[in-house]
Amino acid sequence: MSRPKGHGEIAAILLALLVASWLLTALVFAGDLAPPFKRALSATFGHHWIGKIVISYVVFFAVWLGGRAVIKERTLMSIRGWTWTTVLSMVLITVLMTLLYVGLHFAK
Amino acid sequence: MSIGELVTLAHGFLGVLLIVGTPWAMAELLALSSPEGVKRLKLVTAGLAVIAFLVSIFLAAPSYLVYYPPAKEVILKSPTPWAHTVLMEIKEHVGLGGPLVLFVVAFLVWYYNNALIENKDLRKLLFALLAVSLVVAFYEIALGTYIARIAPVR
Repeated sequence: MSRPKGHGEIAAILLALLVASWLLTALVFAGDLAPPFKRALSATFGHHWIGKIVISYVVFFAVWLGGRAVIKERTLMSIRGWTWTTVLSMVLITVLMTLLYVGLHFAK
Repeated sequence: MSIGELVTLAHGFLGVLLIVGTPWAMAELLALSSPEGVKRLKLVTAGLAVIAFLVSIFLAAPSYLVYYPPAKEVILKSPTPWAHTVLMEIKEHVGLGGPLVLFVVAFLVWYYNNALIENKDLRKLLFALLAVSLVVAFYEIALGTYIARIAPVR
């Protein structure tokens, strides 16, 4: 009989999702508030949009795979805690990105 | 029909499929009580993850980087340049996290498999992630529809 699966996988993959999502948000803000950074992303990846995808997705898989090895059966917080943290982060990120471009439009 | 129109049409069509498929996965989660239900949920969530990557990365890239620039010029010269400077800028960035969220959902469904039937907290987590994805997908479709009304990709 196989051992019941613990909740370590939930912590590892949701931690990776949170880190990658907030990093993507930071890259978006940095790109639009600091033009030299956006130019550097474009020069490195061919287009700033591709740069943001590559960096955040690589970080997602790195944190996830690293987290699986380190976190193991620890959950860091309850599933309910992960649910609220992840959902609130996703909503906040969407609102922040929207406010960034609305704000930049009116600041011009 | 040009290749640009075809790619952008596929991008929009698969976006609509996400909006149709996500509530299907949510309904399967709510009614989950048997291994047969878990099998269906695995197929639906895997399909959603694949579609999300196609829509937000593999179809969005040629549509946005290759075929959208002429439309962008038209929008910037129109009475509503903010359709690009605000709406398109939001659209091109907000959707990038979607494939990761749906990948996480599909992975957890496949990993926990039949254990999902007994794990109510995990089902609530998956339901919440799908709900957020659905809201973001609606937001993206609304932005894309307005932008395309001003200057469709050719």
